[in-house]
Amino acid sequence: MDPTLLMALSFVLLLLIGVPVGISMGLAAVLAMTSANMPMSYLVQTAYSAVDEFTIIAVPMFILAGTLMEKGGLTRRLIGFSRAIVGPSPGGLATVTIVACTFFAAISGSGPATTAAIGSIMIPAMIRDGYDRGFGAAITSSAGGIGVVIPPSIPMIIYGITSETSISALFVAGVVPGLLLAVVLWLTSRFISVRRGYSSGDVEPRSLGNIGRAALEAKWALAAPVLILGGIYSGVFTVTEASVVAVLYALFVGIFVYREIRVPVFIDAVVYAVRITGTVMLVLVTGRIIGRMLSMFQVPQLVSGFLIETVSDPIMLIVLVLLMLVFIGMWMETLTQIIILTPLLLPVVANVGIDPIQFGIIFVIACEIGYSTPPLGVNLFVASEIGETTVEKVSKASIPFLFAEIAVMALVAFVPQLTLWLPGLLGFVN
Amino acid sequence: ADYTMRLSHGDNENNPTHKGALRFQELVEKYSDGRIEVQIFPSNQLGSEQEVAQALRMGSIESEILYTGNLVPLAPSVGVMMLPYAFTSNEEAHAAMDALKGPLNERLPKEAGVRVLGYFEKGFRVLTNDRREVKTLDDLQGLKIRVSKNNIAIDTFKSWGLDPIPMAWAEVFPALQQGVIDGQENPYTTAISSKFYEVQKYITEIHYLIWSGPIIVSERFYQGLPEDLQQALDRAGEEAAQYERQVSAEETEAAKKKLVELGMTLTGAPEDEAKWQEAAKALWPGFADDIGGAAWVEEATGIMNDAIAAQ
Amino acid sequence: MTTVVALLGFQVVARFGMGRSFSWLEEVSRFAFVWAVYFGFVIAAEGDRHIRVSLHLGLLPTKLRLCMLTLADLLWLGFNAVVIWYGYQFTVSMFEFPYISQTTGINLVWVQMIVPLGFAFMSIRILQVMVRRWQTGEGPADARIGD
Ligand code: NA
Ligand code: NA
Repeated sequence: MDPTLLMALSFVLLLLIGVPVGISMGLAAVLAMTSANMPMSYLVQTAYSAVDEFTIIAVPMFILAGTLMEKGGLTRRLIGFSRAIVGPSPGGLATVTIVACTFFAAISGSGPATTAAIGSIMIPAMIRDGYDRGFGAAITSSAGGIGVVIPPSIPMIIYGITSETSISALFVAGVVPGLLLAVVLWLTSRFISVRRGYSSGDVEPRSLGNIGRAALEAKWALAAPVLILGGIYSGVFTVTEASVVAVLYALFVGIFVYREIRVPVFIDAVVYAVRITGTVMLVLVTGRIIGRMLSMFQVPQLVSGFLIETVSDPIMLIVLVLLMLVFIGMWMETLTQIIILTPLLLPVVANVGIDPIQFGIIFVIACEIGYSTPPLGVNLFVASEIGETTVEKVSKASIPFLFAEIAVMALVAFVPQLTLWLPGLLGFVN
Repeated sequence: ADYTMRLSHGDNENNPTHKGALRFQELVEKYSDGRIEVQIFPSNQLGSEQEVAQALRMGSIESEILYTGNLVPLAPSVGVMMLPYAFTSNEEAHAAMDALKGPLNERLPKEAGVRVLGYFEKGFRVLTNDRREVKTLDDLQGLKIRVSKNNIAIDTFKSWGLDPIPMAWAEVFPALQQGVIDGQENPYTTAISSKFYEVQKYITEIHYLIWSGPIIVSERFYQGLPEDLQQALDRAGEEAAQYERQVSAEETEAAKKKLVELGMTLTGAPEDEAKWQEAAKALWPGFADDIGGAAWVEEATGIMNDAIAAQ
Repeated sequence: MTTVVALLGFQVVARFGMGRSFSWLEEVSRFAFVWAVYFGFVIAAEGDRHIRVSLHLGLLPTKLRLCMLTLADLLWLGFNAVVIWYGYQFTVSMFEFPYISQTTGINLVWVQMIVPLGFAFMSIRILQVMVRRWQTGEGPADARIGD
């Protein structure tokens, strides 16, 4: 049997039996490797190297920081402040989540890290206020993806290097689509919240006095993004280091200012962060192996070759490319996807008049969507772990948000001004 | 084809490395009468350079083109290519590389289970920064420079009085942009392909190290081939390297021109290069243990010097 | 993980406060992180929290569901056996052909060893969970089905 087909079929079968997702991928890869006569040591090597990546450290660090902020009392005060701002409007906390993710996106270059940082604060809060677990996790998973569309963005850096386009221009080009995504997600969540009657709980009417009091109460929590953002933009530390600073800051405030963190609390938080990292990374590890196998069998090349040969209508081609990006994003790890597909697809879309910068943003939005789609959706995993619910439930609740995001992606594909206007204004593109 | 040979490298498809790989593919298929098929996997699709080098030893992947510095942890002997100022022009480097191929192939199969077919290069590493024009060793002082993670680069910068910062490649661009670091060192062509001109202003030609990259093959795979095919591989490797060096020289010239157009200041070599050389060369004895031992270093530098002198 | 925090925190302080950087710090933190992740695998297995597609399993009668999950876990153990066996061989070969880190000078085998070790510890936890499941009749991931 063709190794790719064998891999796909065995993967689905194993999932149905109830084998964990990560292990299903691993076993499917073992079968494919056996049928292709590949030495199994490659599996072992990848199982190590997929974990040995410095930039991934930011993910558990932001989870740990978020947990410590929650246990240390920062979160409670931050939520108090958010509620005072939003007031008693329907779906208030969902709005807060999206605003917080958008803000955090300007600090973090990674989707899962954004989901982890905001999710560990907001998902428990939403659940306490009677939101459906799946909905709370889904909105964070989707909004967390904005982390890679608003600069800084690790996927944009990789795309810029692979496609030889300007990384600064890509960063600037991501701002408008990133904000647009936030607005569209907010409209969607608002629509659902109104229909389901989600409230902000017991909240006093919005007033300047209330907001001021809440801000003062939450001043240590509000200083965190200032410290992290300021530290990154003033060049004191990198994003990965910023995640560590976030942990240290949360510890400092939790221990010395609010005095709510004790040694057992810290140990619990570390174990929790390590466990979530374990569940997420297992899927990433074997996902990496699957990605490598797909490259080796030249599957992406076959798919895109087929695309160019069979489709001649430009609009049809763009639509197909978008669908393909979303489809492959379901299965493949973001960075692998960018590295493999960019050189294949860029000439195809450039042929029908899409600018490389514009395509970069389309691609990054596709990655953002991919973070929240099963079977390999890192945000989805992080959010459902934090929300203590199942991936299926979060996936189902994510559907309206995914459609909203796909709509934005299509808009970006067909309206070049969305991506090219701001960089042009600032002189990054001609 | 009777044999399939997967060839991995870390550069994208516009890079001299890839063009050299394509030539290698063509030549292997020609000299083997189509009995060996080469599949090229650019951009580290099959894994990082170090990872693939390990996979070569186990026989999971057949061949690779990688930066010499990434092979040193597995095959210390190849580190003689990285001795600072072992050669100071491209011609000298080519002579040294070609002369070392045979002696290296006595050692690398035992050290790392791989063998060299030919030696690519992408030009000397040049220093970029956005603080000031570096004309002398004094200008260098106080700059925060990122280097790749090997002790030869790190110690060389230390010998110049700097505390260099080894940083993961993915973090370099944002770190330059945000000012976490002031500069980095890589060939001219990298300043173009990685868009460093957007965030850097000055380039100085420090000739301490050339970006050299062997095209290596799994010894297990190589020994499994009949002798005529082994010869086909050796010949294709050498000729592909000749071609790649030519492409690289042309692209380096084009890159220099383009960088000037993009507003960068190209300083050329430092005025007091002798001082730089003196400081860095004093380190040689200290490196010996990490690159195959003093006896090998003496033998290898002898071979290199003879080859350079015979030019 | 605490080690990683401490090391990287030290790195930031060192670079900002003292203007020094330590090349070995990043590497040692990465190694510590790799070990932490593998411990994470084991801890998650202990609580049966690795992600499964389990919606349809929740609809099955208890006995059948237990059988399915047992089969699933046996397959899991099979995968682990593959990783442990080849990981062991890889480790042995790493002693023969060392990979010496350039900044710390340590043989990477001491770090990569965690792959077979981690999967071995994970297997012990899986067996414990299998036993516990037959004793209590619980589905996967304790209370995550039907919250
Ligand atoms: Na971002
Ligand atoms: Na996905």
